[in-house]
Amino acid sequence: MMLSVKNLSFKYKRNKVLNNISFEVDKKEIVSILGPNGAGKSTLIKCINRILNYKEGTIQVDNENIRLLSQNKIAKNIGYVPQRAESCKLTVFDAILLGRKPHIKFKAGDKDLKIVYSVMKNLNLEKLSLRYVEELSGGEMQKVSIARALVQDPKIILMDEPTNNLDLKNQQEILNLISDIAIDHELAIIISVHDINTALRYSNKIIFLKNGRIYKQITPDEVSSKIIEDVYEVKVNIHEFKDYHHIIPV
Amino acid sequence: MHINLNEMPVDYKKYTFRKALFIISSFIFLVFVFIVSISVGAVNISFADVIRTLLFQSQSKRFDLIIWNIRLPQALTAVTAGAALSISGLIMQAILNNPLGSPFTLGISHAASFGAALSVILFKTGSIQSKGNIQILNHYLTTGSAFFFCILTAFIILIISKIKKMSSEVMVLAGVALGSLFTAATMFLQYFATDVQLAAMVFWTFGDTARASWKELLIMILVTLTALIFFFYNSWNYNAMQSGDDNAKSLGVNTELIRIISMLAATLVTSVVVAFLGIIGFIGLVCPHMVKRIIGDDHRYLVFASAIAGAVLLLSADTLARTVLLPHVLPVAVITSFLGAPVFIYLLIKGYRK
Repeated sequence: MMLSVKNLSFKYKRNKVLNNISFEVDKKEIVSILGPNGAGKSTLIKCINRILNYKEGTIQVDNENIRLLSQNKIAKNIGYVPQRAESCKLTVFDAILLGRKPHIKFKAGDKDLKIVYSVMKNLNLEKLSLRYVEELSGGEMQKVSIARALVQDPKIILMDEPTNNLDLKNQQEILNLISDIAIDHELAIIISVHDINTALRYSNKIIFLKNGRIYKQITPDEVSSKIIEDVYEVKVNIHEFKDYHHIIPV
Repeated sequence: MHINLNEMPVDYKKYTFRKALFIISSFIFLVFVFIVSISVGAVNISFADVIRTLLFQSQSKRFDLIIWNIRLPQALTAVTAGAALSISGLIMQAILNNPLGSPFTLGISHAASFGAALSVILFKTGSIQSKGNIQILNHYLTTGSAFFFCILTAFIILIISKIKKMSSEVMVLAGVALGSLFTAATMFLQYFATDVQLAAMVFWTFGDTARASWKELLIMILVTLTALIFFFYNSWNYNAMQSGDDNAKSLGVNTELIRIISMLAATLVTSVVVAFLGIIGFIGLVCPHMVKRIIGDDHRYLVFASAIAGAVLLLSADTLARTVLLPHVLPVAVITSFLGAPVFIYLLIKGYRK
């Protein structure tokens, strides 16, 4: 297994935000984490690469306990795409080159530059290469974040609501990109999302969180209106269209 | 999708070359300003004579005396102090992810003023000369006291922000609060000071590059160079921190540790300068912003570029201060504050974001 989380619990001060979470993700798999606001989705994502320091439970990446790894070693294994990329006055090329940081001792070598350039071309970003990140649109910024995670050359990529501020076209483009890279790069991808239909369409497995606990772990085919109603407390209908389930609130 | 390692990003290579060229040309400009600065003053010395004297080819005893004893140390002090204040401002802006980070906004300069004022009152280090000039007796006691309060302020800011999980807003707000606290305490001391003590306190706060001896200059150079190398070594980390703490951590940066060590290093550099020279405003705030407008937020280039820009600005201001009202010589702080405020407002109006 590429990622294995066992009995993970996390507290913010006295508040238990995550309670006894266990799941596994294999390579080429996309796992979506769903749940209402405050269910602990972002916290779970941030525990996996130790942006938040958890005290209880174990997380293993490719059979290595991440608590025993340095922050730099974790960065070599796990890429992260934040909910909203902060804009700055770095060029797109430099912003993506930052993803090579865990591999660079002091100076970026020719190999690093070539990797960045190749990933940029694959993501159609090469025309923006020398533009400042602060001049980009939301969709372009999100692509830059994904490119940065890719040049890290990780085994796992974590994404915290990557399509949140995007329009329909950009959402689709980003989600198709995510599906492609999971297969092509043999990555395990964990995404926290709000849109249930997106999760049903793009992921191999769905984890429903409720009040910091895993309510259900299912494949998209196993989704039922009862599960959705229990998690979100909203009545829904499920329709089938072109092999996919679609959730429509009543 | 596959990674192709055959193609080199030519445009990017050209772009980084242009940045390096900018730094080299600014350095050449600094050397030019340096020679101008040594050549002008109450006695004008030709550029050729300045260069020959600096290359140990003595032109006249009088020139030797003026250049080696007065103008060279003062010009070197201005270069070092300018570079020091500028990089410490740059680093404070980077680690706090806040455009207003500088020794002033963090209350460090106010703490130095208070330290100096306290030593004037407690140790009676201020005195009046027969000509009516104010001078500080026991120089090291005053600078030592100023230095102590600078470092104390940095520690208090760090402790407060440690309790509140190192968020950058907390650090800035704690700095602002401490700044007003030290200003109030200084006013309190000034109210009870005698005329001579009051004059000595005010005199100390006027930053002046003529104050440093060769020995003090050497200390400043050593501290500034060490900090410059340390900041340059961490430039990748500062770049990562521009995109937020979570992002930086996910790239392997230990943000808390970098923030504490960099904050201490920046404070150390500032306090050495402020303790020896008094308060010199706006360099730390304005210079990094000017350079960022030209070469962006990339700290791999910004660290050196800001150091050179700070050196050029303070050296030019110092030359102006020495020559504009001859035979009167103004303290450089008067000029930097006069120039700094309009420049900063100009940068704000031009829409500088960070």
